[in-house]
Amino acid sequence: MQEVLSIKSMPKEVKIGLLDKLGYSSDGTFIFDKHGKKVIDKYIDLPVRVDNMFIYNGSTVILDNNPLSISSFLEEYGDVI
Amino acid sequence: MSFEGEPPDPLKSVAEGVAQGTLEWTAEKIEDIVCKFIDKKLAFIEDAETIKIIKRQKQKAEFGQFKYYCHDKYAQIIFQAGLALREYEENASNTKYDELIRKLGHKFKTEGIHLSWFAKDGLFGEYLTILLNQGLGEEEIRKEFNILINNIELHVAFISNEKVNSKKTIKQKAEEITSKITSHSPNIFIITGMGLAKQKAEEIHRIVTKKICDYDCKIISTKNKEIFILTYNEMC
Repeated sequence: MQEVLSIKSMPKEVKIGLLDKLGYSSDGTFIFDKHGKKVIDKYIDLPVRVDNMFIYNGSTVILDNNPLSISSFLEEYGDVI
Repeated sequence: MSFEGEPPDPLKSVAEGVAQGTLEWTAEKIEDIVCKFIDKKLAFIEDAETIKIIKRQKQKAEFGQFKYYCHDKYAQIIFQAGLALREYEENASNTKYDELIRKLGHKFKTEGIHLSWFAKDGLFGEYLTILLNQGLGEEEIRKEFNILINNIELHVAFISNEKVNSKKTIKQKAEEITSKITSHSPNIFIITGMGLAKQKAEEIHRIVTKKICDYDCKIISTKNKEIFILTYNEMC
C-alpha cells in the first residue's frame, strides 16, 4: 500500500516542477503529457488541473482529486493507497 | 537520487526559491518525495481527505447492503459519491458539493446525479425496507434495484426549486409524475424536495395523490427535506 502525501500546501511552482520531474508539463492550470496532450481524468473525462490532482505511480496515473475518481480508481486498482 | 553531472534541476531550483518563504517544502524534502514516488512508495493528492471520505463510505453498512443487492460497478461508484455528497452537505462544504455534482453530471448525466441523491438522502434504506416488508426474496430485490438504477426517473422525482417555480410548473410536474405512475405502475415511487423545494414537493404530492388512489404514502419530514414514499397497495 502506498503512502499518500497531501500537496495542498505545496506551492504551484513546486507542483509544476514535480510534474516536470515525472515527465509532464503544465501551463499553470492544466497538465500535459510528453506529447503535449492535455491529461484527462479517465474516470470523469475532464482535464486534470494542477491545483487539484492525484498522482499515483503504478504506471503513472494522474487524476482529478474528487470522490468519484478516487472511488473509481480504488475499484480498478484495489486498496493500493 | 543524485543530480550530479546533470543539467540544473528545474524542480530543485524552484524549490530552493520557494523554500525561502515556505520552509515546509525544502529542496531536500522534494527530492526525497520524488525518490519515494519513483520507488512506488508514495502517491500525491491535493487533499488527502478525499481518500478518507471514500474509505469511510466503503465501510458503511449502507454501502455494503447496496453492493450486496446491486452488482453494477458504476452504480456502486455513484452510490459512494452520493454518500460523499451527504458528508459534504452535513459539513456545509458547498464548493466541494457543487464540484462533485458537476463532475457526476458530466460523466453520468442527470440520471447519475439522481442516483447519487438517492444514496445521499438515505432513500436506498427506505426502499430496501419496503421491499423486505413486502416479503421479496434476494433475487427479486436485486431485480427491483436493477430496474431502479436503470430507470431512476421512473421511480423517484427530485423536485428542484429552480425548475418548479410557479403554480403552473407545480401542476405540470404533478401531471408528469401522475403520468409516470399510471403508465408504469411502479411498486414504489418517491417524491422528494429539499430546502426551498420542500413545500413544492408537498403540493405536488397532494395533487398526485388526488389522482391516484392505489398507493399508500409514508412521509419523512426533516428540517431540510420532505420525502413522500408512495407504495403500491393492491388492497386500496
